[in-house]
Amino acid sequence: MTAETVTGVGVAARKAQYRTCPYTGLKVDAAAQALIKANAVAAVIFLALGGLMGLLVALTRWPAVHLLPADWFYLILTGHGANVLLFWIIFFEIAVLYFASAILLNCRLAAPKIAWAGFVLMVVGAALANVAVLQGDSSVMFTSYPPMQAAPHFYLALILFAVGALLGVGVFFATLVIAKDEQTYEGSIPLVTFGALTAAIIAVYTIASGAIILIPTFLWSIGLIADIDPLMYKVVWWGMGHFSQQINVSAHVAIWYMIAALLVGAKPLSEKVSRTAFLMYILFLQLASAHHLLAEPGLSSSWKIVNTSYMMYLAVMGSMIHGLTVPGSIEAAQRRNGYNKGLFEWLRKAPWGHPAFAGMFLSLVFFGFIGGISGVVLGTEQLNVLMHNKLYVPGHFHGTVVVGTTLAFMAATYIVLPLIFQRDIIWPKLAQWQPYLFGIGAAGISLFMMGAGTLGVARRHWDMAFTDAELPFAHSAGAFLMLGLNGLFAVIAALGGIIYVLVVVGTVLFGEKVLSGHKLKFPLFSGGGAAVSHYGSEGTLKLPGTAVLVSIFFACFVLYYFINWKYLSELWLFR
Amino acid sequence: MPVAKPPPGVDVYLLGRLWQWWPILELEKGQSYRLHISSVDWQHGFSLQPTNINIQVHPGYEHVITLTPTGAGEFGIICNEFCGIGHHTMTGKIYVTEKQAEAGPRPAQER
Repeated sequence: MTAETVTGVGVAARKAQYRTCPYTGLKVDAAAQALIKANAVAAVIFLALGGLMGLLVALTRWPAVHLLPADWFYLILTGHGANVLLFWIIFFEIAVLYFASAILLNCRLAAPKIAWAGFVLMVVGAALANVAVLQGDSSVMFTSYPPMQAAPHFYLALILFAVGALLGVGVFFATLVIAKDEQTYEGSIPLVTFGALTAAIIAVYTIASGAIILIPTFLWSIGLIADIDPLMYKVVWWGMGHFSQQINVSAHVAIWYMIAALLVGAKPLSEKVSRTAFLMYILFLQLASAHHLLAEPGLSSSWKIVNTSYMMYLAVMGSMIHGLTVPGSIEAAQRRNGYNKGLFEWLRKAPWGHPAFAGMFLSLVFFGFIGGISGVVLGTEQLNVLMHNKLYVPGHFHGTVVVGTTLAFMAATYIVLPLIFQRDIIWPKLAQWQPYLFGIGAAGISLFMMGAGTLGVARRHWDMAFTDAELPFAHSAGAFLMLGLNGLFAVIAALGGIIYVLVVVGTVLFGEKVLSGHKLKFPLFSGGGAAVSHYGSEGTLKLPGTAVLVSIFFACFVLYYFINWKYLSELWLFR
Repeated sequence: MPVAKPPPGVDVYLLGRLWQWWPILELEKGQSYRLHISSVDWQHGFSLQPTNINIQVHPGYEHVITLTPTGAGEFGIICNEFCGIGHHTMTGKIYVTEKQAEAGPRPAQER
């Protein structure tokens, strides 16, 4: 450890304790390191809790198992959404923000005390929300649509958590200011930091939308406001509910670039193009929020069509650019590394045995093919009527948030453990299998929920057999099969999730300490540290393998899109 | 539960409430109806099955769609917006008969 006196902007100029990472050459601020650890540990705890709840949900929807009684099913489903979609992901994102600012820019973290205050608020909020849900009076689902009402401390918990997250985002911005002021990096910020910046900017207006709607809803729950208009709530709530997913996309795309840089030395094909793609998320992707509002009364067709059919195409283009440039930059780097034979030697000889690479690449493929394509279908004004509130919707977002974001975050963990926790991975064989188990399980969940939704099965529904209904109704046998398969793949995903938690906890507690000269079980690329922390483009487009992969993607996309228009043509006529 | 059989082309009303779609409707194939859907309590989701038309229903708002059945038979309505502990028992029915002009005198129906 070396101590350096730093002076600079902000109120919290302090004496920062640094060490130098032996694998990447990056300077690591001890305060940032401690905060990254704390946030990552909290993230994994809520993932374990929320993941277990997810398994219970899937086992209940599996008609042959039908595990939980109805009241518990709705309770656990509410908890599942809050724990994994909010708490796991946002704790991890705060860790990513601190890493992408302080560590990648060789800088001290701004105001660690405020960062700790934010952390404490988030922990209190997340714990309080779980208490509220488990008490049983707040089974209102993640969306908590009024006039259905939760206990006041349910809303209060979410508000506390959001305020904590906002403090973390503020610390990130302040760290960028310090790094620029103290000139800790040369030229422009690296792409990974730029992606994190995109996520942080989106986080600000996500949290603002959340505050605008959740604060009045809290006041309504304690009786100070008489009425919350359900449609107004929904419009503003989705400003939080779907904007927050764009934080996830920006963060996990940044992680794709980070892992590609650290493991094969990949540099963006073009910094400018990739940055533009991130910028499109800020400008347009938030309008994907509209895809939850396409079946509503009170909003005009022109509003719906402008916000989906036009804005969304621009936003989706952002993801498509990353879908080209991430594998493209890996191909370019691998060819530079000597894997130049044929179309696909670069891909065959990629480090598939490294769980960070395997997780990252599966996340990339499944996010594009499952989450991306289904998102466009859902977000098409005309097609949405087929899928609105069907299981197709959770199918879509398990294709984005679970097999995309969560898998990418899991992959990043295999780098965070040795570099930040300074512990080498225990049980490397299990760790190698983990991303495949979780990835394939979660991809199956997504696909079979989409299938069940296409066959008409509703989301958030305890009994697809309608056993106790006054007027009987029967879904097709195919729909039952889909939910059976969904249950099987949920078990596979849960197995991957359990292994992840075991490996992480085992490594943090018992992993071999990484001392200087230690050879990592899963080594990094030797120039990876420089590639991830510097601005610079690969500047090539000779990517025949990537061109083939992208063509396959487009063929699937077009085919599936038009199949859904065929389904649409079979409906009753309505307008 | 009552069965409402509106003449072709008129306004038809369907109410969502905890936990039923009220009343049962009997429509004619090929005829257009202005269907008004609303809720008296919480949000509900109108989901026509197996045709798969899915529309959101809010209390305090009337969602009006012009609907033309294109197939005869018995159709189910299920609720696809979570509306509390009885959500999964909330169903309704729409019967669609052949257009009378084409089908001739209606045969006696059993239900």
